[in-house]
Amino acid sequence: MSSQQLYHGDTEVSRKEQQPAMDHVPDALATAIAREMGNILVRQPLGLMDDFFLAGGDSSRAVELITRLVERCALGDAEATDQLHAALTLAMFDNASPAAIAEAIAKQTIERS
Amino acid sequence: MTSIVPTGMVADRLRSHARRAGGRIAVRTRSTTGWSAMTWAELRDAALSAVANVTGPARPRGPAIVLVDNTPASVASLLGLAMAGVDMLLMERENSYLHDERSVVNRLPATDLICPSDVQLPRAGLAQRTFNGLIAGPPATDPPRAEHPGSAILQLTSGSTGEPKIVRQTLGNILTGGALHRDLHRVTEADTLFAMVPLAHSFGLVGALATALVSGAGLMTMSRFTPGAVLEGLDAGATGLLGTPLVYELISPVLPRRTADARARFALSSGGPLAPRVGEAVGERLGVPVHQVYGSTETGLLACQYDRPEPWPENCVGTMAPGVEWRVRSHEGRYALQGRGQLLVRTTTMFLGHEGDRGSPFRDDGFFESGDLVEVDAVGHVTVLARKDTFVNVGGRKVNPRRVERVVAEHPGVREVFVYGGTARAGEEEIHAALVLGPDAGTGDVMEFCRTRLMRYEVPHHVHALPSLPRTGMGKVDLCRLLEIVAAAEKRTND
Repeated sequence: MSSQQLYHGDTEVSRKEQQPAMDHVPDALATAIAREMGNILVRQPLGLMDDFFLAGGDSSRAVELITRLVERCALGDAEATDQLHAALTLAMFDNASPAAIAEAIAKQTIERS
Repeated sequence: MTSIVPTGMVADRLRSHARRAGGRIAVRTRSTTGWSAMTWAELRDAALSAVANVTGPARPRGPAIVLVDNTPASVASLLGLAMAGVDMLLMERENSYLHDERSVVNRLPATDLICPSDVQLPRAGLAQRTFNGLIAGPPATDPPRAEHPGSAILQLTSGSTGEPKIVRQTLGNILTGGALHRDLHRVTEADTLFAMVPLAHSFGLVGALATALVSGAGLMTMSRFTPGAVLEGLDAGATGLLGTPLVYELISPVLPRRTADARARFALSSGGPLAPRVGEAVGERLGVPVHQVYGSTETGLLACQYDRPEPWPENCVGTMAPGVEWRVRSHEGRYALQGRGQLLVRTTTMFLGHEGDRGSPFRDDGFFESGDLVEVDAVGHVTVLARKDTFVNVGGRKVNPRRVERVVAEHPGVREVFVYGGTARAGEEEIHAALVLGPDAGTGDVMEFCRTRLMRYEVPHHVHALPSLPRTGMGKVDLCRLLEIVAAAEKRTND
């Protein structure tokens, strides 16, 4: 399952809200992550370049987010899932924007395909 | 209780380490821009400069609030203040207490704020000094005579009732606690301890900083936690890790399998129960078990696991630490050394009391009621069945729900509020807030309000807007009924 498929139907957001994401990362994925971050923070979806921690996230909420994303993006086998988990954990504490997290997921997905 | 650590311990230890291994790294810290470090000789000189800068007319007239950011400069400042006999309240750099006018911190007659250079002075009446300023200038040449084991090390605690309290610990107790950790885990100057927790908190202060000081081990810290920094620390030779269950959960997926040149030889977890799946995963990758540690700011170390041939029973926090006297009070009110019940303790690192409290926190026989429900078996294994329920344990940080309630209630649209803890992942808790809102207020407004006044981990994870709060005949919030109402509302939403 590709990262685009995972978030199918979860993409509606006004273009006005969106900020530029990396060219090769699907907007739909980043938008869905922005919405998931908003759910966890009990607020509106984040902008694609907003930082999860600056928006109110802490380590405990980061674990919750990573857990949800890994569950939704299960890559088929345990080893791939572990690699995704590790990549997301490192990415969250490097650049915690929806766009950057989407890029980390997309990279893992591409590496597996 | 009499401290077993003699007067002059900080100064003596710094001098000894600087004389024998002056060029060896004493403290290194990972910040967002990279690593910074001080050798033992540099740490000694910087701390003695701090002594010179707080001696004579420059000496704080009251307790100093120290915003410890885990940098070498903050460590040197802290040690210098200790050698100068200055009472100090240790806090994390980022906290919600200083700007909260009604917090217990602002009732402390503090006169000085010692902090990183980019911290904004929270209120008038505090003389602000920076770490870099404090450790600048010539070091004190005379041996510090003001150092005393009775100097106060003040720390925040969740409090047994009402709002958080300030615990009055002593420098002697902190160092004694370090000696206990040193002996239990056989820490020597060949070790490097990686504090993955703030040095302002008991576990970091005692388990990492004091242990390093009394053993000569190196100390690694982070100004901001990142799993990547932990990997760098392990690559750089960290031999002992200190973290919370949440920290171990975060590093678990990124740890590489142990290699032949790995140096980690022990890992300690404190702040709450470590989920077995996390402990096993980290232990397998590090190649050493994660030992659980149980204690409190008030009592110091109570029990811990340590290396031994036989495995520790699941969920056990080890055996009682040296110097701990204990009694288990059963449901029937009988006292014994084993069995299940409320834990009462006397320790060699017991606090003196809470700031501002007139009454003694101790029973007539000197025992302190921990408030925790434990089980001690026939061979002395301790299992914590339940911690006192006056706080919500968010990733090892004890959040006082009554304080969060008070802050939330300051929102003009909140008519009633009740804050409580709920279970999240295994071993972790989250904060719930049940609200009754006025006609013009929304939960989003209240959350934004919280985010401006509370630390991120203190902000409720879940908000439940209700038409009214269920109450008992005595007028107290009926938690059982509230949980039923919230569960029913969530079921309706999910359906």
